[in-house]
Amino acid sequence: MNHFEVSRVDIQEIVEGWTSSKDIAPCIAHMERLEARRGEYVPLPDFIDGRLAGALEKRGIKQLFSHQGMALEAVRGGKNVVVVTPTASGKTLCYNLPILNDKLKDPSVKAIYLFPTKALSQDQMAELQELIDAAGEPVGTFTYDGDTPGDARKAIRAHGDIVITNPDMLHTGILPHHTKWIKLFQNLKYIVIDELHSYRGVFGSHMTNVLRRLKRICDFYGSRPQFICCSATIANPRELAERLIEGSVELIDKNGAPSSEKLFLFYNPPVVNRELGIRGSYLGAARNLSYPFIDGGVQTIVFATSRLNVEVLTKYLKDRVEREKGDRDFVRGYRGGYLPQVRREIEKGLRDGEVLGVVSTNALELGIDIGRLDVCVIAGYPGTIASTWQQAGRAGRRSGLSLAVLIGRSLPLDQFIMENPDYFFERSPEHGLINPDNLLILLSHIKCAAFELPFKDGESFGGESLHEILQYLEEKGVVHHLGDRWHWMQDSYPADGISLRSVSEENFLVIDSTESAQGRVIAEVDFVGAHTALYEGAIYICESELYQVERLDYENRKAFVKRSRADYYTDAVSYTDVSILEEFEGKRECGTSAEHGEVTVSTKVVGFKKIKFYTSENVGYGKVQLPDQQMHTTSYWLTFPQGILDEVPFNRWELIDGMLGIAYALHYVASLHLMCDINDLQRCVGDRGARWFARLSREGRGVYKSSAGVEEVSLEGIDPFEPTIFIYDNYPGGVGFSPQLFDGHREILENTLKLISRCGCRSGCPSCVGPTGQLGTKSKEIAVSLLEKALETDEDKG
Amino acid sequence: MRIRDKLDSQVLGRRTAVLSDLRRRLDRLMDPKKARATGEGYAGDAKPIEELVEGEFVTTPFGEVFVAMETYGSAHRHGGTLLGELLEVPHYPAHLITKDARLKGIDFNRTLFLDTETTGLAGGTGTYAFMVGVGSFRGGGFTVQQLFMRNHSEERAFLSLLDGLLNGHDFLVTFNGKNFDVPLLETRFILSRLRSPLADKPNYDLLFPSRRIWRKAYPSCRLTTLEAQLLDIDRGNDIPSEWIPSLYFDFVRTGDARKISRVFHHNRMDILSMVILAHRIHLTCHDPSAANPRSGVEGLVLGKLFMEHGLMEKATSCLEGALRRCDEPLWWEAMRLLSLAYKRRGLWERSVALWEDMISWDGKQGCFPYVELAKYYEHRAKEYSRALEMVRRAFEMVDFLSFPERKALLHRQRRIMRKEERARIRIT
Repeated sequence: MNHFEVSRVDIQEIVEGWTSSKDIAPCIAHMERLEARRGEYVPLPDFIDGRLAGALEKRGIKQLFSHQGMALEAVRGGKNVVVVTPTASGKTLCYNLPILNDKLKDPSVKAIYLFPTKALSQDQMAELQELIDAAGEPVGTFTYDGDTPGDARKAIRAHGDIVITNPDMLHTGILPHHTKWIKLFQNLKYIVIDELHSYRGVFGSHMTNVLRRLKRICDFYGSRPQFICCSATIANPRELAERLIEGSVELIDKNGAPSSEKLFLFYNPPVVNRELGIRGSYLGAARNLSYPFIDGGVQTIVFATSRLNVEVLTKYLKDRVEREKGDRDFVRGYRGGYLPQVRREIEKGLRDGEVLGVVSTNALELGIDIGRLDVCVIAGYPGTIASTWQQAGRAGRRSGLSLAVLIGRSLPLDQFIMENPDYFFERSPEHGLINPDNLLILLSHIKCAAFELPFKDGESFGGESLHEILQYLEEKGVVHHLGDRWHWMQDSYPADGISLRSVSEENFLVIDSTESAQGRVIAEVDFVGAHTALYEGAIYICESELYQVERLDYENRKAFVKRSRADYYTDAVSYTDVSILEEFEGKRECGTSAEHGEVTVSTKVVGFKKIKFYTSENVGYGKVQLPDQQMHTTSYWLTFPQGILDEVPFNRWELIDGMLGIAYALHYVASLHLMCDINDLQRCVGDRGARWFARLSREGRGVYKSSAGVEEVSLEGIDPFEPTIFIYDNYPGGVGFSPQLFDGHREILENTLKLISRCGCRSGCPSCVGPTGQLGTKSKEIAVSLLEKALETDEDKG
Repeated sequence: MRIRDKLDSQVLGRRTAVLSDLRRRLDRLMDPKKARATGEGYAGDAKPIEELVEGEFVTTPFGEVFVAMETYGSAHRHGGTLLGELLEVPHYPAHLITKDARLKGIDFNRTLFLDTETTGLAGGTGTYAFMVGVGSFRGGGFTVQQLFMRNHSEERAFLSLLDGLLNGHDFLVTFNGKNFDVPLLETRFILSRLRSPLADKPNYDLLFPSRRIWRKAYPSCRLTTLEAQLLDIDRGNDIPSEWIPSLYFDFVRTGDARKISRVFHHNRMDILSMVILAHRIHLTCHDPSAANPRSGVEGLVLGKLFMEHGLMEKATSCLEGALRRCDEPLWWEAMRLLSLAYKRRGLWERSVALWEDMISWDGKQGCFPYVELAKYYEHRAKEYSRALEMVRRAFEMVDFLSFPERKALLHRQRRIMRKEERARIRIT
C-alpha cells in the first residue's frame, strides 16, 4: 500500500522546476532522454504445463517477454544460454520457467542454482517457492549454505530437487562429499548461474575450476547438465560465459521488457572554493534532490559509495522526513552488515510501497527483488560504467516517466565523467576477464578433483598438461599412480585450504552495550572494514542511529558501542606502503630495472577526523591505536633509474605526477595482460627502499614516509631519487601474477605507452593516466616522454 | 619454461619464512613427510604382508584380497572381562537406551562387530578404508577377520568380500560407526559402483549409550579413555591411531609391510574392546549393582533412563545407590529424582521424608521440595495452612526463582487460599 497515492508528485514537473531554477539549472551538467521502449511479447508456448500456466496467470502473467520466450526455446533445444537484460526485466523466469516446466513433466529432474551471495540465494528461494506453491505441486526447493542447520542437511541431500547454493559451498561442502548427493548428481539436468558478471578475475578463475570439477562428478554419475546463465550488462557476456562453463553458449540479449521513458541527469554541485576547486557537498545535493520525491510519495533509491555515506545520508533524510511527516520509517538505510531479518524487512517494505526512500550501498545493485522504483539518485560515480547502468536500472516502471540522477563528487574521476558525458553514454561497459589456467589456481583445484575422484590416464583438466601436473604431485606425495589411475594419498581435505575469495578473516561483531553489560549484537563488519569503522572513539552509524565505539576487543573481534548524541561523524585516515622482503629475479630491460618477489603491504589507520553533520566542518582529530594490517604477497616492480630521469626536462614533483600516471595506466594494462579483474591487483608508487611513498588523497597528492608515525617528506633531499612502481597481487600469499608480469615487462611497458599516447584526450582521462585534476595537466605529457625515453634506451647503455 | 619449472618457481619457489601461513598450508599439502612422525625406521629388507601377518589370499570375482584371521575362546579375557560374558547378559538394554526399534531383537550371535582403519579422519570421497576388521561369535569362540587392501586397485575385491561377510549377519555393532565407519564405507561402495548392504543393517553404535551413561563420569568417551578408565584394558605397546594413515601411505609406496603390520593388532584390540564395552553397557543397565559403577554418576543417569521408560522400581534402586555413592554436587539432583520416583510409586512417606531432608540441607538449590510439599499438603493431606506455609517459604528462595516459577507459585497460593476459605465456610 502506498501512503501517498493521492498526492504523488509528478517527476516531469519537478525536473522542469529544476531546469528553470537559478540554483539548480547551472549544476545540471548533462541531460539525456532515453526513449521509452515498447514491450515485445510472445504468447505462452503450448508446451508449458497447465499447472504452471495457471500459476503464472495467478500472478498476472498471460504472455512472456520476447527474451523469456527465446530463453525457453533455447533451453528446450538443449542449448546453454546466457541472458543479458537490464535489472528487473523478469530474468529469473528465464530459468525458473523452463526448469519447473520440465520438472512437472519429469519428476526426476534436478537442478542446482548458484548465486554469488547468501542473501541472493534467500531471495531467489522465496520467489521460486511462491511460483511452486501456486502451481500446487511439491518440488523440494532448499537453500544449502553455511547457515543450513546440520539436521536439515541430510534431508536436503535426499529430497532436494532444486538446491540453491553458492560456489564456495559447492567447492567445500558438496563436491568433496558427492556420494551423499548421489540422487542429485544422477539426475542433474540444469545448472543456473545468476549474476554471471560477478565471476571475474580470480574469483571467476576459481569458478571455472569448480565447474570443471562439477562436470567431472556429473560425468561419473552419467548426467550432462545444461547451463542457464544470467548477467548484468558487460562488454563480453557470451565470451565470459563460454570461458566459465567451457562450452558453447547462446546469447540472448534482446530485451523484450517495456521500459518507460527515462531522464538521465548529471548533476555537478556548485564550486564553493574556486582556488581549491572544491565543490559543494554531494551528500547534501543527494539529500536535496531526492527529498522532494520521497516527500511527494514517489519511491526513490539513493546509492552511496560507502557504508559510512549510506548512514550519513539516511540520517539526513530521516531527520527531514521526521520533521515534515513525524515518522522516520519512510526512509531506510540498506547495506551489508545489517542483520538478515532487517534486510528482508526493508526489501519487503520496498515491494509493498511502505518504504518510500532507501539509501543503499551497491548491495542493492545486484538482483535482490525490491520491485521497480521511480527515481534513482547515485551519489558519487560508482567507478565503472557497468555498475552505473546497473544502479540506474533500479528506476523505471513499466509506464510513466522515471529519473536517474548521477551526482559528481569533487574527485577527479567523477569530474571527468561530469565534463565528458559522451565517455559514459558512448563507451561499452567493462569486460569480464578470467584466466582459469593460472597455475596456482589450477593446481589447487586439480588437488580437489583428485580427492573427489581418482584421475584416469588420458583425462584432461584445464589448459596445461594434466599428466605432467599429476606426476609433479606424485613426486610431492600428494597422489599415487597405480594402473591407469591417480589416487589421493594424503590425510587431508584439500578444499578446506583453498578459499575462492580473497578475504577470509572473521568479521567483527558490533555490540550495543547501552542498556546492559552483555549487550546486543546490532551489526557485523568485515575484517578490513573494521579498521576504518570500529576504532575506539569512532562514531559508528547503523540504521542512522549513532553509536560511539567505547572498546574494541581486537582479539575476539568485538566492538562495544554505546548510543551517542554526537553532532559529528568520524572518518579514518589511513596510509598504505609496500616494502620488499625478498627479490626472486631481476633484470635490466627497456631502460628500467624490473624485478619480482615477495613484499609486505601494510595499511595503517593513524587517526580520524571529526566531521560535523550538515556543515561538514572539521571539528577535531583523534589518534587511533590499531595493529597495522599486513599482507604478505607477491609483487612485480619496476624502477626508473636516475639516468632516464635526468634526460627529461621535468622537476621531481612533475616526475611524481608522471609516475602516478604511468602506474595508473600500467595497472590497467597489467590486468589485461593477466586477464584478471582490475581489483585483483593493486599499485603503489614509492621508493624501492621504502624511504618514501607517493599518495593521492582527497586533499591532493603528497609524498610521505612512515616509520614510527607518518610524516611528509621533501623530495629535494632524497638521493638517489629513483621512483618505483609496484603492482602486487591483492591476495594474501599471492596468486602467481608477478612472475607473469615480470616475464612480460617489455610488452607491458610498450602497451602502456600505446594506451597513453593513443588516447584521444588532451591531458589525461580515466582511460589513460587517470583523470586530470588529480594529477595536474602535465601528467600525460610527462608519462609519455618518460616511457618513450625508457623504451628507446638500449639495454647495454642502461 | 617447462611446467615443472614453473610449478617449482611458483609453488615451492624461493619464499622466505615470512609467508608462514602460505608455507604452512603448502607444506601440509605439498610435503606430507613433515606430518609423518611414525617413530623409528626399520633397517634391512622389506617384507610383504603375508610374511608378517597370518592370513590368506581370498579370491573374489574382482581379484584377490588378503584376509587375516584370529580366533579367541569365549573364556579369553580382555581387560577384566571374558569375551563370552556378553552372550549371558540380556539384550533388552540395546533398545532401551537407543530407542531404535530395529535393535529390539538384537542377538549377539548374529552380530558383526565392525571397525575400519582409514587414510584419514577428514571424511569425504578422498578418504579410503584400507582395512575392515569384523568379529563374530561362532562355534563357541570369537573370530576376528581382517580384510586388507594392499593398494587402491584391490578396493572392489575388498568391498565385494566385505559385502559377503555382512550378508551372513543381521546386526552391526560399531563405535562411532553411525557418523564415521558406515558413511565412509557407503561412499566407497558407491565409488566402486557396488550396491552398499550397510544401510539395511541395524547398527548398534556403542558411542551413544556410552556417552549417555558415562559422559559425566570420565573426561571423554573416546574408546581409549573408556578402555583405560572403565574396562581395565591395557593396550601395551600399541601404535597411536594418528600414525595410521601415513603408515599406510608408506606401505603403498614401498610395499614394505613391517610397519603397517602393527595396525592389525590395533584394529583387533578395537574390536575386542567393543565386545567388552557392549557387555558393560548391558550389565550396567540390567543390574547397576553388579556392574560395580565407580561413582554415583552412572546410577543417576540410569535412574533417569529407567524413569523415562516407566521402570520405577529399577530407577529407585539405581538412585538409592547413586545417593550413597555420588559426590556432594550431585546430591540435590539424586534426591530430587529419587523423591519423584518414590512419589510415582506411591511411597509418600519416603518422598515426604526426602523433601524434608532437602529442606533442612544447607546446600539447597531451589524451591523444588517446598513446591512438592505444597502439592502434597494441598492435594493429598488437604492441610491447607501447611500448604500455604510451604508456598510462603518457597517465595523466600528468591535467588532461585525464575519468573514462570513465581507466576506458578502465585497461582498456587491463590488457589490454596480459595480452598482454605471454602473449607472454613463448610466447617462453620
